[in-house]
Amino acid sequence: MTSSSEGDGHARTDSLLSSIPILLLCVVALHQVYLVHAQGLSPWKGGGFGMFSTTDSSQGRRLRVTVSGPAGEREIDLPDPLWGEASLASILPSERRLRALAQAIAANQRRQGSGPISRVDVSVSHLRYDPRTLAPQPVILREHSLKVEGRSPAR
Amino acid sequence: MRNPFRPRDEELGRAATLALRLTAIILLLQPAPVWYLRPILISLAVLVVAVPAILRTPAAWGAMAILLAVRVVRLWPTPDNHHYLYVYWTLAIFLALLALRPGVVLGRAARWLVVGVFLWATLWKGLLSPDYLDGRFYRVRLLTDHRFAEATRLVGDLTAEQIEGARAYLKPAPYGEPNSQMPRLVESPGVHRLATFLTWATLLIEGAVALAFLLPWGRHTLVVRHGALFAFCGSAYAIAPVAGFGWILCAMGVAQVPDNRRGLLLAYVFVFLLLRFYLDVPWERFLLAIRA
Repeated sequence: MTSSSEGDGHARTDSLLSSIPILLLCVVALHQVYLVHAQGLSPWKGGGFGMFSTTDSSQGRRLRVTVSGPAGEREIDLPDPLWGEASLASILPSERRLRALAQAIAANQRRQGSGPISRVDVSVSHLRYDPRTLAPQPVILREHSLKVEGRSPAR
Repeated sequence: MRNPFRPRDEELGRAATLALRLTAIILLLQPAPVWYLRPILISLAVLVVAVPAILRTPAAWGAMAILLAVRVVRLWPTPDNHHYLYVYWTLAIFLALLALRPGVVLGRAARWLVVGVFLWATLWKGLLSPDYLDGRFYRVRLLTDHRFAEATRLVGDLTAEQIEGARAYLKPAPYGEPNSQMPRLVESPGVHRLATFLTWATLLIEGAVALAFLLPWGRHTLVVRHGALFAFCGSAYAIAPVAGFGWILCAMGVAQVPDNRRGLLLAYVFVFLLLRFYLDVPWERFLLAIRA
């Protein structure tokens, strides 16, 4: 190999090595934009650099759980062991996470002997503000309804 | 490419060496919240700071990049954006140390990372977000985020009670804390002006940093690029103290400084320290006390 082609080879290697981190950044950021639009990810999270760009931050989201049974429908407080899962589900309320959370809630209700239940509804919402008055309006981002049949929740 | 386990014997260059040291210091100042990653990351960072041969060892930085990536994956989707940047940056250092011209490769990777961060941030604010350009984001943020409370009192001419009332109005239970009184929104003209200013100033300065690092500026390159980054770090983090983000931007800025520009390297060290002061010194409270 001549010294010139060797130099070109080194320049190409250097160029490739310096490009890998920015390519990774762009792939993650594009994936974040997809997740925000397709699965309701908070724009503040996911590596897309959407922080300080919208009121829809992860702390501003709310997860609501209701269970239905012979006694009717009632909203319940989230069981302590499920706080971590609920927090993740409110940041990224994908179908899979909401279903898993609803199943865990149904199992928890059964363990606690809180009476028979036929359905668990989980919804994630955030506040949208009026552009003029800033009046807050809750908006449901995503929700999941789990039918509970017999002793094991239906998938 | 070089052996990732064998320390390089030649000098890295003053700027790249400083960038690597600052990066290790950042990892010491921002310990990982995962217990099994924290002691290993801290140990590696201490070794990098204390032992020059380890500072130049690609394997040490490769290990840190992997551990920081594990942190992001383990806690996903909760990590903040700068935690992703730690992964990209330590990966960039690892790759640069494998190259024949580590300083050049590191400087180039740093430049593109700065462009990427600021372009995406600008894209979100200018195009993708539904409530940024009309000022709603900062109008709500100034009144609900505790970190902005003193700036809001200082510039917006509001009392602590009025801010508390506005917070209860904008974040009614169950989104915020229950409030026994009827919440009321007081949005003074000062708050409105401050929100409008921050909306446009943030968008413009972030866009300006992206363009400064994206385009060639001939003999003005150093002034334009580093001036823009100093302006951003010096102003943004005075109000929104996210020092971990600012520090990594400083390390990436340092990596792009020519070795013979000692003054510029020192300026970055000064800004790095300034961000720590922003974090610890309640300067807005002092100003409020002086005004009172």
